[in-house]
Amino acid sequence: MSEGKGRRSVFAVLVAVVLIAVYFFVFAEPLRPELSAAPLWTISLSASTAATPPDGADPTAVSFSTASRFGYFYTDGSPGFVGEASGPVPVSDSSYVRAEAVPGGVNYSLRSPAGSAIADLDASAPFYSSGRLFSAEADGSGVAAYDGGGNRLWSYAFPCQLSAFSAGDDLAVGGTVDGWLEGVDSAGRRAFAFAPGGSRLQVALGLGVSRSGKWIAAVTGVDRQRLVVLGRGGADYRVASHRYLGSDYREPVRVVVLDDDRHVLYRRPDGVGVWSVDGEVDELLPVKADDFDVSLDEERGLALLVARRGKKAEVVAFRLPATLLGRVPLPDGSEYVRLIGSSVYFGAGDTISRFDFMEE
Amino acid sequence: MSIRAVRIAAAGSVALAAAIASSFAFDWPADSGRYRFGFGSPRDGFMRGVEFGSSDGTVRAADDGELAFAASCPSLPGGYPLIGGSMIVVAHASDITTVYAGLDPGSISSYLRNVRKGDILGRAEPVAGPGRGAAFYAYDAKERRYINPLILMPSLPDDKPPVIRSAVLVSDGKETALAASKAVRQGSYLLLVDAFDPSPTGEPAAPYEVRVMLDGSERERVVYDAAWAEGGRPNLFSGARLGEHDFLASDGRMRFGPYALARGRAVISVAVSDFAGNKREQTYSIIVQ
Repeated sequence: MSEGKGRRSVFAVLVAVVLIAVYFFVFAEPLRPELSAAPLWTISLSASTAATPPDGADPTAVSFSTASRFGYFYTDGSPGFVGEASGPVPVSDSSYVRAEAVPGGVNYSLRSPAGSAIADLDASAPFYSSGRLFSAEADGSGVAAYDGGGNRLWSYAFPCQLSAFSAGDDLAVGGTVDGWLEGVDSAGRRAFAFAPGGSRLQVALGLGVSRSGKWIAAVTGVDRQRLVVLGRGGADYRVASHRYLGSDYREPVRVVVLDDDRHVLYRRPDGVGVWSVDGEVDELLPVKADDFDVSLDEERGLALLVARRGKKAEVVAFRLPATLLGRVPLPDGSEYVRLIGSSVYFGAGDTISRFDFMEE
Repeated sequence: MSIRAVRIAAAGSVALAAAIASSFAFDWPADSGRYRFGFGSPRDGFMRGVEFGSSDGTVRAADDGELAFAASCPSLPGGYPLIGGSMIVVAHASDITTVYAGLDPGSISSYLRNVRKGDILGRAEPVAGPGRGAAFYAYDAKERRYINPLILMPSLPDDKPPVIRSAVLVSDGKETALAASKAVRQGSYLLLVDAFDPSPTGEPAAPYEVRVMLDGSERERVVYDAAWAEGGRPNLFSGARLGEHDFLASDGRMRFGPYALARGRAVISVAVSDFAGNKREQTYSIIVQ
């Protein structure tokens, strides 16, 4: 009897060993390559002021703006046009806006990355959002849109001041101080108007629009604060998901809908929240940030986030939804940080540097 | 019901009118009301609030309320610029939301939650000339429209009547000044009026009421009481309900009409009043040929 019991034990051990071996050979995941940040170059902006690239859009031109300078550099580290500035200059990868003080006001002109004039701009307070040129109008309660030639395409008046704004390729959305979200399509027509409600005080604190215009995420209200995601269904937008938040922000809140049209990142007191448009993902990236920006390298499944707190900034690499891979602190006072795919461009003073996240 | 309450009711806020009919709920937030430009003044479009020069520096809460939003940065996330670099929004029990913009960005009291009337919200730099000063807006969140703050605020002493600088008839882009011309051809004309009311600091601010009479009959009356937007289009004046771009010319003049002028004598009168009731009227008699 004891001999039979012993044989069964040996058999069970053998089965377990075989199963473990099968698991390792059949189901094992390869170890991920190690992620490292590789510095590529640093350029001096003051030395690049004489460099003037040819007119015309260059796909590798990257715009920057700091307190004292603005302009362009190229992803290979060669400098482009650099101008002196006494404050933030509206600049995008395809054009920038030059302001000139005149008696009684300011004249704006649209310029190419080489600094040549494109057109005079009939604008009150020009700015870029998602690479599109807009102007704030009417005491901060309106917006006008322009084409690449500086022609005014449309203007739209919101009922009151905006406390949040975001734009996709064909949709611009304003969040108002009385808690409404209003979308404007590429023809300047109202695409939708929606009041999330559900809070004691109604106010839009932050919103993000996906580049496709399919999804809109917003943090709204005071007591209690809500994250609301709207999705396009036919000609209208409807609530796709929502959750109440533990926050009590009464200031601008960053909300980003990633280009994968699935994940939403939003500021939380304990980090950066990661939500999915369908509400199935509700995670926390433990990175505290007053403000942040994010880029997605879909090919490598890598996301980068630049988190800012006061004068400190760090770049965080993670896999969606919230697997932290690494953090790289940036020099204090980095005025400019731009994320493109897995590349990080940052600058302070008169230099811009680039490093890339690489898997080795 | 007081005249002030009637004016508020006319602006569309009946509940608010009842709430403050017996007393002034709001106090001037800056400069004891010595504003530079009032509601309707042409400041890159129709100004929806009042703008101060802030000679004493402080901006205070106009009434008890709760801080709903405070921002002190050049722009919102998404790039939208904050005019003047800051904005404070206070929600009040009366469904009125007050907005304070253009305060010194480093000075705003964003830590406040419950706000008491007179609490300092921030500081504003003195301004002169074309520069923009701190601005104050009264917004009826229930009706979703701005209200002329003068309606809600304690009255200011004012014995200066408005000024009518010019009135011109416009047809096919050609302007005919009424003060200089005695005759025009018959046809359809727009009337452009350049009028203002001196603000407490002496700047050319907007009046409160403008009436246009043709041959003794009132053809148009606008009261600067409210402004709102519908479907992306800005609208003005709760009674006349005019589109902002239809009413306000790019040079700040007021646009009325069109009026069909037939052969004979035509008498055109323009009457402009301020909030205190001071009035200026100009009458033009012309021959229509």
